[in-house]
Amino acid sequence: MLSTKHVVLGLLLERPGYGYDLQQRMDERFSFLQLSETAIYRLLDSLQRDGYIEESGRKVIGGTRRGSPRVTYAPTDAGTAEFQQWMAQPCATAAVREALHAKLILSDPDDLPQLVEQVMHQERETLAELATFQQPPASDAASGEVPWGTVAAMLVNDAHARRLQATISWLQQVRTVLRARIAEHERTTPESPS
Amino acid sequence: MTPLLSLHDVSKTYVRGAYHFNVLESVSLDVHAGAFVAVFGERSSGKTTLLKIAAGLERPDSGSVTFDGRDLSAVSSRDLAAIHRMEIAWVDRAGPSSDELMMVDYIGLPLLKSHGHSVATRLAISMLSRVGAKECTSARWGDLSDAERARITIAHALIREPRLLVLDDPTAGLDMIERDRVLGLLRATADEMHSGVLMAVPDMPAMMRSDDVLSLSGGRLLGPAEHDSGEEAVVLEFPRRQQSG
Repeated sequence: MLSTKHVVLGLLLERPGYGYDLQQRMDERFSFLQLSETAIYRLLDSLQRDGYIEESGRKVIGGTRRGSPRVTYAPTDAGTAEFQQWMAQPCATAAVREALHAKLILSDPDDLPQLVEQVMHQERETLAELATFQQPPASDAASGEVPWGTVAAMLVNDAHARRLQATISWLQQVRTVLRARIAEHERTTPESPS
Repeated sequence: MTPLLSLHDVSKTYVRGAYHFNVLESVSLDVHAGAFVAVFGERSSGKTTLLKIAAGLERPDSGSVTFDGRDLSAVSSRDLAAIHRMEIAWVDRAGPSSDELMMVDYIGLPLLKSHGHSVATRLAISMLSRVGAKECTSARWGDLSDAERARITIAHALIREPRLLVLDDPTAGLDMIERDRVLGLLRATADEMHSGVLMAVPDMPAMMRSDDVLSLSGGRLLGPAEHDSGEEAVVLEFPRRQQSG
């Protein structure tokens, strides 16, 4: 499942922020999550309880109700480590797209080699899932009507295989684009002296 | 068991002016006798190049291709021609070079020299029946539907009883039932003739009768995750991220 907690953590790693600011950033980059400001405050509370974020300051915003300053948050060392572990963890197959969406959006050039590994891992998992489907006994090559039960089973398998194909096609594209970007990055980044 | 066909660390690059396109990068693949191996790839993913190299029709830039213990890049062109005539069948939808040829003659053509006309014709009719295309006996290539062409091309290859069948998108343009019949034929070829079958397709539903499923993209070939081997979940080390702001 996609962890919205880690998405918030990733956004705070990019730049400390307060609730409303985070909701704006969420809407801009993770509109598919449709998180309310209240939900974001709950996530911030939870992250603070877990010791992953801490108050980093207070900011007075023009037009803020009651004029009270907004609390800004930043990740702790434990929060940074937690985020990095999440980024490196393979995604559950059922939510592969959503989880990889989030990781791609939050990644920087140094993350790309690990993301390629994850994408390859997901491709292998998806292929393994395809391999578990058992097609009903092959139709008689000499034609004749195929029994409806066989046709129905084939239609269902077809649907599963097409869903897996959509996942693999997207993963293949991600892998190709990431590898091209890594190669480009290596070409343009001067080697640091050892 | 020694594989019938083995590609080891095969790479191939096409050069178009200043542009280098790595079609295959360190690809390894085994096909055993009696196994049906399917490779999935989108258009321009390198499927046809992979198949041509596997069939010995094209040479890799590096790496080796071994068929029945023989290095295909080391055999003479005469021996390679013999291998293509008798042992490795390349299957595509090109059809006969002449549109005047009846399908029974097209299918019997590979046996004409070795078996004579009447035996070749008898075996061709039997093969047409086997692939469910008996009604195409007197038809010409131009008269056939996609489904009939798919069966005819397989019949044309199977008549020689090859040890390895290499097929490029054999189910293109077929509906689900016809597709499954063609795949059933290939499954039977592996099971009953004990031939190796290597097929590349752009559709994953076409892979469901195969023993091995592989994915080709960006020159890399991937196989399925093996959960029975006790593979550990991948956890990767990350460089520490710089916080901005």
